[in-house]
Amino acid sequence: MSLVIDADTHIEVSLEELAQFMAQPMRREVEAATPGSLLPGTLGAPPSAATLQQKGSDGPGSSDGSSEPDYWLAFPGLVLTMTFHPSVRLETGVATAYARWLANAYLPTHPRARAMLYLPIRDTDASCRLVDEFGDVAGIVGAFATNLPALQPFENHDMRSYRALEERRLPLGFHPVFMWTEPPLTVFDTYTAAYAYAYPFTQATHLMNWILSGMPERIPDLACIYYGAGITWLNFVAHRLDQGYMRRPSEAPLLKERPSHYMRRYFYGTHPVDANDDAGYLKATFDLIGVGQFIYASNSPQWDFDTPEAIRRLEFLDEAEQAAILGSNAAGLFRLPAAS
Amino acid sequence: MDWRAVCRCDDVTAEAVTVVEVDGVEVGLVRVGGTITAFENICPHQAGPVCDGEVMGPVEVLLDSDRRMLDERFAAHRRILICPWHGYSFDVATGECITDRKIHLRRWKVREDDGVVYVTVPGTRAAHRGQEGSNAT
Ligand code: FES
Repeated sequence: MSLVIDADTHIEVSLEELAQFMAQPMRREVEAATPGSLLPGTLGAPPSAATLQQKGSDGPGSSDGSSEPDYWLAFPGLVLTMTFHPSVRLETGVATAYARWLANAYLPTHPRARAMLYLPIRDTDASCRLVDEFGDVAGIVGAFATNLPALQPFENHDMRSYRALEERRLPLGFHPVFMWTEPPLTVFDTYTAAYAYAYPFTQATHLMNWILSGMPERIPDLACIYYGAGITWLNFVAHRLDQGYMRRPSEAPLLKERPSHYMRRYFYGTHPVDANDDAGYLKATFDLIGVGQFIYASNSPQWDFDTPEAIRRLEFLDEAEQAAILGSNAAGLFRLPAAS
Repeated sequence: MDWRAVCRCDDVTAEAVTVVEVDGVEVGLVRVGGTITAFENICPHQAGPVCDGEVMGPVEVLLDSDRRMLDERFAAHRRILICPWHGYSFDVATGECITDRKIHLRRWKVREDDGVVYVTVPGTRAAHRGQEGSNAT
C-alpha cells in the first residue's frame, strides 16, 4: 500500500474550547454568549461525523490498512464559516485562538496531523501577524481562506499576506463554504441542488478572478490549492476562460499565457471524485491539468466523504499515478516524508 | 524572388495597417521602428480580416517590488494589431499572438527601395504555407 495523505479532514473544535485561547475581553464575550449563537448558520447541512463513527464505518484508510491516513490536514468546521460573520473583529479573534489551539493543544497531541492557519482575509494586518507568529510552528504547513468570491482579495494591501506565505513557502488553500440562504443559492429548493451548484461555482468564480487579476504573475511562487468542489469544473473553466482571455487580453494585462496554463500550476483536492457512469469526463480533467496537481482529500467525516478507494477505482490511472494522488503529490507540496 | 511594388513607403504608417491587394490576396503593411512588416489579411483564429483592426500599445501594468499595482497604461515600446472580429491580438513586429505564441499571422517578405514598398508573391499556396505557416486554435 502506498502512502496516504488526506489533504482535507474535518475536525471538531467548539467556540467554547477556542475561547480558552482568546485574550480578554473577547474571551468573556464568547463565554457569556448562548452556545452557538455567535456562529453563522449552516442551514440544511446533513449530519456527518457522529453518524459515520457510530455506525462503525472506517474513515479514510492508510498505507498500513488502518482506518487513519498516514497524515492528514485538519480543517475546522467551525472556523470555516467565520468569514461570513459580520464582525471582522470576532473572526480575527477566532483565527488567532485557532492558531494558538493548533500550536498548543491539537498538533502536539496528534503527531500525524498537519494543519493550516486560518487567514481572516478581511484583516490583512491580522493575517500577516498570524503567518509571522505561527508560520514556523511544527505541523503548520500552510494557510487557508474561505468565501473568496465575495471578498475578492486582490487589492494592493492584500499582497502582504500572500507575500508572507510565499516567502515561507507555505501553500494557500481555498476551502469553499456556502450559505444556502445567500444569493444565488436561494433559487434552489433542495440542499442537493444547492450543494451540487455552490461548491464548483464558488471555486470557479474565485479561480477565474484570481487568475485574471494576475495573481499567478504577482505571487508566482505561492502554491495554491482549490478544495472541495470535485474536479470536473476545471474543464469548463479552462475552456471558457481561455476563450474569453484570447479575445480580451487587455482585461488581464499581467498574464503572459493562457489562463489554463496557470491552472496547471495549482493544486486541487480531489473530493468528491466518484466516477459515476462517465469516467471519460473525469479522465479528461486529469489529462487537462496533469496528475501531479491533484491531491487526495477525503472531506471526512462529512456526509459526502471519499476514501482512498475512490482514487484506486479510477481505472484510467495507473498504480503510480494513483499513488501520486494519494500521497506523494501532497508530500511534496506540504514537505512531508515521502514514505509512510 | 518575385517582388511586386504595392505602394509608396509614405503610405505605410505605425498607427494603422495599410491593406493592399496582390494577385487577389490582401496583405497588410505596418511600420515597426525603421522597417515595414507585412501580414496576410487572414486571421489564424477564424479567418477574419485581421489587418482591418486597430494598431495600438498593449495594456501593461506596473508592479512594485511588493507586487502592488502602481499603474496601468498602454505600452509605449510595443504595438499590437487587434483583429476586429474577436479581438485576438498580434505583435506587429513578429506576427505572434500575444496570448499564445503558437499562433501567428502569416508573414510576407517586404523590402523598401527608392520610396516604393515591394512584397514577395508566394509561388503556390502550399509552398507559401510551408514557408510561413500559421496555426489556428
Ligand atoms: S477571426 Fe480574428 S479574432 Fe477571430
